[in-house]
Amino acid sequence: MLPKQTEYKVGMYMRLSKDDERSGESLSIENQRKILTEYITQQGWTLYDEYVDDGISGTTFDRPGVQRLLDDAKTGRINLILCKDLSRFGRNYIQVGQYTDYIFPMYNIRFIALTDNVDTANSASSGMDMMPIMNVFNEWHSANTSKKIRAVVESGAKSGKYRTTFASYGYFKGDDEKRTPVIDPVAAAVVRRIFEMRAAGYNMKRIAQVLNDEGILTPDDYRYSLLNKETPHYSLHLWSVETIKRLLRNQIYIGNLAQLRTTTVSYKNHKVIRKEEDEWVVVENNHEPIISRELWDKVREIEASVSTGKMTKQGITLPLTGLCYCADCGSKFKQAGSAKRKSTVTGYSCGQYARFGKKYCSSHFITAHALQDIVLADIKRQIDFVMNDDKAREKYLARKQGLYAEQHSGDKKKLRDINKRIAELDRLIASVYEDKVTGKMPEDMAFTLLDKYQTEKKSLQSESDEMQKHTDMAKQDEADVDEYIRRLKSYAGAEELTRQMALDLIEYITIDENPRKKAIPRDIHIYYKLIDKPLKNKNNALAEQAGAIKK
Amino acid sequence: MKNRTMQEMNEQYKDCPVQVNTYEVDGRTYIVHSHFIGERDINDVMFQYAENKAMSEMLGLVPKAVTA
Repeated sequence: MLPKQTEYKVGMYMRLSKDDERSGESLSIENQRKILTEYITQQGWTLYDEYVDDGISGTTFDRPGVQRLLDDAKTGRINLILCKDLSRFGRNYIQVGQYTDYIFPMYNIRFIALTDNVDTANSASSGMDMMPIMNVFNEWHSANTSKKIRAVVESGAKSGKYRTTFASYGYFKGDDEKRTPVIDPVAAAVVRRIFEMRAAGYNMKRIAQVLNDEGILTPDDYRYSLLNKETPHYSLHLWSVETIKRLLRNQIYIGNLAQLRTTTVSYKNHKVIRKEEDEWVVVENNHEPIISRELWDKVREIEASVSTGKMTKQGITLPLTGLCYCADCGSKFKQAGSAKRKSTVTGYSCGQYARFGKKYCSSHFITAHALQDIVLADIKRQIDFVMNDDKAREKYLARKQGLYAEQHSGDKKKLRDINKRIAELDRLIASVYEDKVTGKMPEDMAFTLLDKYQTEKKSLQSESDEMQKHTDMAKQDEADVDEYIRRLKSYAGAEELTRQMALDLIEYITIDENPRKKAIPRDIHIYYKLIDKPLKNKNNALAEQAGAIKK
Repeated sequence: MKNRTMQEMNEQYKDCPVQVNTYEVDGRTYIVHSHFIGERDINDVMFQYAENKAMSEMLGLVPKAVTA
């Protein structure tokens, strides 16, 4: 049996959770301290130290204060733990019971929960008999509070209440009750660009490179720059693939507010777990979108593509990279360099052959330009549309005028500000001149000021002229419409195979073995994301095979 | 389509319409089997693509894509 303690070194423990704050002053740290200190004085004990956890739930024992208290108890620095009531020590009945029934007796530590009449030195007391029941009730309180909070959060999410510390990049939190996201025009332009680059076939690494090369601030850096603060955590201050990926998958940019995407294991275990997408609470059309649904769908399609768009060492993604498979072993084709300069991609070969050698598959090599030429010829053969020039012209002009109006509204305000400042500078120059003439201002000071005002005026004047020139140029709508039509016809006629075109039209390609004899034809299968238009009304799709076209 | 093997995809699309055409590139003959597995009209796709590209270039909406 452990010896009975006669001299007590007391560890006074106090805790207040965020939920407890609503209970008012009775549970405040100050009040707990007062009650416990008075009791220690009455008993004539020595206070070793006080241990405080402010704003932490009692469901977890992962609290700095309680951990320090337990360390001091186990190392013998304290031999009496005093707290106001059992729930202050913890609301997890299994863990509280383990400490009070097993661990504290083992280390010969006395535990007192003052207002609950719990004292491990007095096992006959009614408080000790009731302790297991009190522990269960304390935990029930936590479970109940957790349920209530979850219900409030869920109801808020369903009604479109934006619950976040910082709004997603591209938005500000609104001032209304629901904190509805409001577009931040500066960041929104970057978001739009990222989506457009992805839709154009850029892979995420390349997008990050473009943004880093242009010195565009990362979302984190941008957020803190708006607050005029340094980023508080360690950061390389560079866009990463992960950041781009997260941004491209965020539905907020099409006006949908997706919340409750994560949860915790339970109110006792706060480990964060990601929810399946169908479990999220999504409010559609909740706020103004930054990108169109069409652009979003296009990016989704590219994300689903079999190709990840690997770049060459020169930082270029070839049009058909990642879309080709070996028809024999089924492995993806890899980019292959020439024998002399391996870093220059000249074609593709079977991935299994490239990795494991000819024992497992043959090379199946095909030059990039031959494959592109074949695919392009096959695409061109299928195009048969007739373009309506007038309609295209009309659409272009409407779009251009829309952009002009948007830009012009910003320019107009800036031009107004510049003109206002020029007028102000004129007044200042006149007044300095008058003061100099009347002798109110020393000559050297007057010259310095006049010089300063004249320089500023000159700079503003040239800025104003430049803006005026831009406005005049933008008005020349008709001048470039012909060039637009020319480009439109050229691109629609598939003059060259681009990465975006390949991603838009092709699901994947399989390439057969390269016959040793050049005279033997080689088979290539192209799987298009298209309908079989020319054969739409025919019964037998394969009937066309007989009449193969020779280019 | 991600995470599916070529064999699985081939099996899924085995009944889709096919056209066969022959092309000659660099003195070599290629037999191209075009499988139509989607629901899009090539004219619509190409026009949309061309319109976006031409519009973007003329109005300076997106950066010039090295890869695209």
